Amino acid sequence: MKAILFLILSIVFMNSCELENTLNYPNFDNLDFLKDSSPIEDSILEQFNGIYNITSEKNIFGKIAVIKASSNYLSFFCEANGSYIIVKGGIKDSLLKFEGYWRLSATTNTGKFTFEIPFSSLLSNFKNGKLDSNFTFVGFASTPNGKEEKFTFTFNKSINNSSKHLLIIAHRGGGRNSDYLPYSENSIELMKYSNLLGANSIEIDVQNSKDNIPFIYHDSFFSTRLIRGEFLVGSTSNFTLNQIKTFGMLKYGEKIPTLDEALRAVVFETSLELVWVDCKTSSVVKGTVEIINKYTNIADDIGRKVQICLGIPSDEVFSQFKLIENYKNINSICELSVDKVLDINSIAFGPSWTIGLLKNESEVIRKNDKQLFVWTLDEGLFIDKYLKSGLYDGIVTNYPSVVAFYYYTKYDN
Amino acid sequence: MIIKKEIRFLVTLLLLILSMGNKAFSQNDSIIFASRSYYFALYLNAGYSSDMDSVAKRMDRTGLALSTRIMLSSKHPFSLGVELAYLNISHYKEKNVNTQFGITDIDNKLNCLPLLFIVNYKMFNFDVSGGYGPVYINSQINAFGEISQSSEWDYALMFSLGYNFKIIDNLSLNVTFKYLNIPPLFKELLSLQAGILLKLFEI
Repeated sequence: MKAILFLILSIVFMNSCELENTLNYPNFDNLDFLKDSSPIEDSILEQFNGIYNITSEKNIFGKIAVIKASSNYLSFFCEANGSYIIVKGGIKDSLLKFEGYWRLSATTNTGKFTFEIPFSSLLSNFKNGKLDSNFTFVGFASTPNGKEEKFTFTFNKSINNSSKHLLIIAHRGGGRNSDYLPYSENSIELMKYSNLLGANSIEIDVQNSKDNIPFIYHDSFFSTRLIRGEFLVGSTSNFTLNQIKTFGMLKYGEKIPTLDEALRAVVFETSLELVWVDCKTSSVVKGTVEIINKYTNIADDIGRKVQICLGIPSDEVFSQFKLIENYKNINSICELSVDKVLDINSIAFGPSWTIGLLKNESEVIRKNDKQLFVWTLDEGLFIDKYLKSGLYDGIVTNYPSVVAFYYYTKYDN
Repeated sequence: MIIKKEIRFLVTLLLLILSMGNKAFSQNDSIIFASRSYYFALYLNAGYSSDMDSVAKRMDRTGLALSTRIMLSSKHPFSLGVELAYLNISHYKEKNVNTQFGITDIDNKLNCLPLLFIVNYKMFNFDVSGGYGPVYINSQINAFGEISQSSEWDYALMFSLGYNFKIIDNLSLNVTFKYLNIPPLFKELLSLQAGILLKLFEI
């Protein structure tokens, strides 16, 4: 009987702790604190841009934060624990009100964050196009133990808006599923959200369907790590696009996007500066190039400045790319070697960080008017080291908020 | 608490082995060395399986289940062996379904073929078993005028409780209740099967 009891207990144990997939993020379309408020004009929100000192009894966010505004939202990229805060703004009764959440990137810790400021306080401290050092506001963060902690933010200095700035390239459209972001990796929703996380560019992955339609997906096979879909198992190229989209969805319920849908969203609904379309298989190169050319032309026509580049991660993709007519005129990022970058006239060399700082290669890259990117940097120490070297034009990361913090506080000269 | 499923299975399996091993050595060490009579036990079963996921109401989650198991047994209560099975996971058949790509007939199937290494504990007429091993998953989507087939290898864990009714010396009737878990797919199947148990090749 002990054996039977043990088996029953084992089954109970196995089913007692389900893997949690999502954190409790606020619904930005229905925030209590912003009820009956009106949207804040971008020009007013942008007055918040800057580097702030944080004072608090708790050291959750560290002592420094960068605040960046984007349409109706403020993002705080903080010093400690890879922490960031994203709040939506509204104005009501001459009060600027903000509600959102804080998050520690490398853990699942998160909570509500709110603050409000009299509009007159912002106006009286905004002189000669920038805030003065008297500008202070107090935010309240709810912690997992149910308490509310107070954080005082004091303006320190402005962010330099240097013309040649770093490309902060969010991996997989903003981050991985394992980072527990509000949206699935490689979803259109995450691509549109990536700027709030600190990115100004994205890397996305493209696979081929059975009917040769490029769609956004990382792995060469379907799995519950990335999708929900009863009948989608095995290779991604075993099913037609209609079947994939009808019987599958991304991890958190979003539609599996085609490359066409993703680039349309990027061009028309974001201000992203560069899209690195990583070709995961050689069979998808031709279709991907056609769509990249289509949206490059559309962006040019409407005056939208965005570079859409084919990522070349393998020799197979490289060889396939060279079979395409006028391949030297197509924007590409080659991960293989400097020689191959020059051979196919890529705009950038994009090696892995694991091969170290490439001082010699960077000289050749500069001499040939190319760019140097590195992937995928997530650790603060390494991010700092690579930024300090001054060799790189872009960094691919799962934690764009961490790169943004280091860049804007130390290297944005 | 977040615990990866894979870790949970490994911990469970380890506890199971330790528990069974402890029981065997504490009670039956004399049998282990005294017994010289070995034989193969062949189980042939058929029945129904049912996917425990009931979220997707439109799918038929019951279906045919077949299994054959061969065990190297002795007088010792523990025996080892392998089991090959076929289980239907789900089936979705519907005509004139309205999708974003137009109206289509759908006939989708998802089946699995687990090949499991089995540890069995015999208690009176009961068989209590645990199994672990690879599972071949096969999917077919028939929609939009296109039949697409795909497959993959995963791993599975199985527990079963069976009862044997002896008919003659080497033949019994067997009824078995099985729980199969395929962690990579988050699939849990329950299966009720009946069949025969044959005693073969006594050594």
